[in-house]
Amino acid sequence: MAQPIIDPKETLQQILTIVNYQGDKQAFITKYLALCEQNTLLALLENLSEEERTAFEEKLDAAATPEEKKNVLREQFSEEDIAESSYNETKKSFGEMMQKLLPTLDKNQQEELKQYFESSAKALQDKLQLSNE
Amino acid sequence: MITETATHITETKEVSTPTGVLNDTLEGQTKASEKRKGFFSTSWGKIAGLAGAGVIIESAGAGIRAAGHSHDALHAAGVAITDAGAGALGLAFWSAVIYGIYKLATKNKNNK
Repeated sequence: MAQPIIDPKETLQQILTIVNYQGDKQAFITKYLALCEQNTLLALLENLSEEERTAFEEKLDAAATPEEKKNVLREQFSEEDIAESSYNETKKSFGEMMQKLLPTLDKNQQEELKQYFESSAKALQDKLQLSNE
Repeated sequence: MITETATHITETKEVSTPTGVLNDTLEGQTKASEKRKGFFSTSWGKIAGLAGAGVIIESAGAGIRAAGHSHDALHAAGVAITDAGAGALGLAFWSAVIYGIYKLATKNKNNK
């Protein structure tokens, strides 16, 4: 399994630290990423027609083990579909979170968050360049 | 004779904290997702357990195709993502983070 370029968990951890999140950071991160994944899967299901969904469910019924079910899932949805759904769903939820969070931050926190995003984006660009060389 | 009655309205403004807002937003999004899930209860019942098992990330493998669907925000942030060996969730997350930069930049610009 390919590893993400930059670990989303680490990124969320940094963001929560900058904004001085007072709760259980790990619990928040786990719940948020599970939500992103659930929404991705839901978006994929929503894109199926009723006939396609029925056929998909029949294949799942025929799959006896979790591994077989995973294979059905992999066969049903292409990497492109998954990547697109994942991108759209995460962008939507994270964007909403940012919009609501920003007004609650003081100027220092906003600046620190902005700097973190910028340095992270730069690091991401560097990694992408390296991987393309 | 005119009698004036003064009405005092006391507004109680709840102070929003980052922690409160993050928790409320996550809770709201979770509820919305559960409601959405209800429409696919049959399908969902059959794939229960797979969603949290990393199958999405596994299925995405090394292919990064989201780059082909670059959002305006990505361009605005000046980040060109072309190809890389990363999981789709990682890229999606980073796209979202970059979107966050865009939102911050827009907000700062508007405040000036």
